[in-house]
Amino acid sequence: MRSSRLSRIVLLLSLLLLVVPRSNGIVTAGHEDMPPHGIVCTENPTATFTLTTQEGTISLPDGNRVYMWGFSEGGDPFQHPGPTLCVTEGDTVTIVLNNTLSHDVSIIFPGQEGVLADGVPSEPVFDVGGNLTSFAPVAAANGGAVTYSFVAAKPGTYLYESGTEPGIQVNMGLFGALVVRPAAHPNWAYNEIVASGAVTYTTEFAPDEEFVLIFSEIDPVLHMAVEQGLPYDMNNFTPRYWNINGRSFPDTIAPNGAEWLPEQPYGSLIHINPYDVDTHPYPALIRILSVGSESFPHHPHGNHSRIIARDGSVLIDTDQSDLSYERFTVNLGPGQTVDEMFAWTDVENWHPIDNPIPVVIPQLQNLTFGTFYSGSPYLGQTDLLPVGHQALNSCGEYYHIAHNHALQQITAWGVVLSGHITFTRIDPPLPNNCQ
Amino acid sequence: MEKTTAVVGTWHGPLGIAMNRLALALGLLVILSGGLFAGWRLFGPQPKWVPGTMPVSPEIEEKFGVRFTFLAVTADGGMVELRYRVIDEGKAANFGHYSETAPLVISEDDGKIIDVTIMGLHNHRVEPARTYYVLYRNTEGAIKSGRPATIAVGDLSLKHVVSW
Ligand SMILES: [Cu+2]
Repeated sequence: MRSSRLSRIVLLLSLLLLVVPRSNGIVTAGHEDMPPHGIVCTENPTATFTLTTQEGTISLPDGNRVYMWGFSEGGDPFQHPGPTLCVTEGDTVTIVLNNTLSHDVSIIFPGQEGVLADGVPSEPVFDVGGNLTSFAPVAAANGGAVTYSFVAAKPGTYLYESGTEPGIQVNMGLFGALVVRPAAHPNWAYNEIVASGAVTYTTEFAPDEEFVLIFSEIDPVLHMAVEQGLPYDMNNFTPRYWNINGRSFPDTIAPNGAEWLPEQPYGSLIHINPYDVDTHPYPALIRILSVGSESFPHHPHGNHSRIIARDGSVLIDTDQSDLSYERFTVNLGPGQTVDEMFAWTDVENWHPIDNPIPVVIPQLQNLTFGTFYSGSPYLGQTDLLPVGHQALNSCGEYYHIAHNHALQQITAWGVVLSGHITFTRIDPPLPNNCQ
Repeated sequence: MEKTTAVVGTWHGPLGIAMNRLALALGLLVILSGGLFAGWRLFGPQPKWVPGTMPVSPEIEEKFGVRFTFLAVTADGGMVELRYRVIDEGKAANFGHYSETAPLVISEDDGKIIDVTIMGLHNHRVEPARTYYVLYRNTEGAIKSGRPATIAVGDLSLKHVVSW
């Protein structure tokens, strides 16, 4: 009797706990298992995926919605961009393409060799007049299917995208990222051990600080023409929106799976902890891809990042020496992928008492306070601010903007501060009191 | 004189059930359920706030020419985003530019205020029917997903907005 009453109380309490709002944000149904930030892998032990083309719309921060096409896994509803497929070096990757659209669709896998389509080499397709109609065998419109397969021979960051009417279909959203992990070292970006002078190092990264950023652009007039079945002259191609992972700033910094963006599940906030030789020795890995038609000069503020690979090839010489380099701006070419490693380092160990920054602070009247300032220049510290100036930080964290330096590409149909912008958030060393 | 004793009779209803017992049972049931209801109100979940709830303020629209459309906690809890749609570009021309026209957000749980903006979508002029955003620092995590907040602008306010 007593135990049953106790169990009822426990049951009641647990039911009450269930309705307490969770603190990790509001998430779209079906996306509850996504981490709030960082890579969201679609993966399975057989590296076999079914990509179904879907049509849908995406939300843009100026209030517009744009008609899109997309790849979704299995019977999932429309999403943009396509799922990030994660496989392991040596896997035989099988991708079944089911096409529901009214246009023929194919998939090409730049960087993969020996790709088969329905068991025969995947090669460009020509019509009877000898005109190229597709870079790969298609899944025919309105219900066709084709199965692609290849061995993921080389670790790296790759695109998969439509090889049919690519000028239109890639802009319509038929693209996604393919990540191939080293078989022996899933936490390394590449297998190679790099020699940098007398020092050797690997591309090991912090596993909870791996990010994928796909840069794209949208011409809404093209999308309207496709939706209405009207012709479109590619000479008139004029992008108006620029997306990272299918979202325009400020949606880019919203969490993965944000409920108000059900069709756009992937955020691009780079949320990391500072380098620490003992507690946080490995850098973040940021995999950057572009499906745009022109170069996107991406510039993360703060420390430079180190570019370790391009197009799935680690930057290493034949004698294993280091060819990686630091860059102020990562210039992303159309169809290119770039892997960069980034560690936020408290280089000079500034500390308010032990090692203060040697600057005589001017009088208050001679100061203006930036909106990012916590009242203290030291990471993890907050301090007094003038009356009327609200204490800024949640926990003394830093934010660095990371944006496209082609400033017309940080707009939303002509209005500035949208498009290709995201943030790098650096939290104070653990333990901290961050929200 | 004969004493008449009021006999406390047992009136049986058409089904033969003792109606006074039934009344007692019903009364107990009412008390119990009332207690349960009160307990639920006191200790159970508070009014069900639906994330994304955005009421409309005719006064704010009349005075400032904007309609708030969206409030969300973003950047892993570090920032808050507020969006509004311009419905009268003349009235909205100075919206957000001065302290009298800049919206701030107040938690209805504890009165914490966020009013420090980081950036917003902007242009030299506002355009009708376009949506603009303002990003705030989420000072001390003041605004929480699924919890009610008030948007205040000048002397007007919009209550019971529920953040995404
Ligand atoms: Cu900049």
